[in-house]
Amino acid sequence: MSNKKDIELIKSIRNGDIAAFAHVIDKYQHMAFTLAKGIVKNKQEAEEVAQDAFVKVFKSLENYKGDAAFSTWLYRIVYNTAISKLRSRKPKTEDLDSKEAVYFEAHYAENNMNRLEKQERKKLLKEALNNLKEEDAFILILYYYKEQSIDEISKATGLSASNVKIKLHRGRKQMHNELNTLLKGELNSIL
Amino acid sequence: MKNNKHREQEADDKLIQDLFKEFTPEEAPESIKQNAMNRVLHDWVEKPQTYQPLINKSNRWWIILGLAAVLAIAFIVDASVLQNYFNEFNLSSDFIDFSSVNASLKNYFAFASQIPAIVYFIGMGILFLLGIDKILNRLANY
Repeated sequence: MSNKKDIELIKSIRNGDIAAFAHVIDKYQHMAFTLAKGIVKNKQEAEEVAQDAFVKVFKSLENYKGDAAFSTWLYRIVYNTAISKLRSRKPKTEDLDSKEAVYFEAHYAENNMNRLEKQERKKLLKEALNNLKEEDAFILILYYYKEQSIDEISKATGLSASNVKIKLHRGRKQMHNELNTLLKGELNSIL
Repeated sequence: MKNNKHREQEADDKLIQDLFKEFTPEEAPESIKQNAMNRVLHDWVEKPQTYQPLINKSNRWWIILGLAAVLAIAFIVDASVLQNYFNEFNLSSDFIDFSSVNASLKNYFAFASQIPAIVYFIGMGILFLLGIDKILNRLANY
């Protein structure tokens, strides 16, 4: 569904057709949930974040001017809601930055990745994303899965384009490390 | 050295890109839609209804006053009086055919007098009820 259809849905909602909002939820709930989970790393909280985000979207629908794609605007609300959630429980979270740095062989992941089955690769990616730093997972999903540009991600997160690039670079590196760790674990369990 | 780093970066990029080809967003629990829609509907019901006035508020009074003035003039003034004024000041009244204005006004009032009084009462009653309804609606949403 294109942004044009989104705009039509928004017009209907603004004209009082509340049922049209159910279509918006149908279309974006999976992505919103996945992005929220990428940040809060917890199913229960991701559910709450997605729910709150949709309510915020409805309440502030009048403020959507159409400068950016509706999806980008919605992802920004999801992002801000998830970050707020994270801040409200910050003392409990584990600081991933303080993890000990581990040495990984170059191209270890690439070589072993080809040996894995499709389902295993899927599972591995989800696990790796879950271990990434909050914002990095969000940015990687938008960049690699939704194929959004740096500019669009910048609009969705409110971060500057250069900041997005830095986080993308860091996320890529961390992802590579995570994949190596997970693959090593998998290999050890087989052996 | 720089080339190696760049190549490594490209390899990482390619690897992640390939991995994301099989990526699908997680299935969102049903409760998200249910709860979000419940909250949205609750919010919508709570929100007071706002009415967009058909006529601008400041213009409304001018329109009412204008109509009242036209009606008052139509009832009070006989067009022949105006013709006399014109004649007194030796002004030409050729450009306005007062006799036809007089005749048309007479025709109008003759027509209006034929309408049964009950129609006027009903009309006024409808307007009165609409006015009361609007006032009560505003008070309810205050």
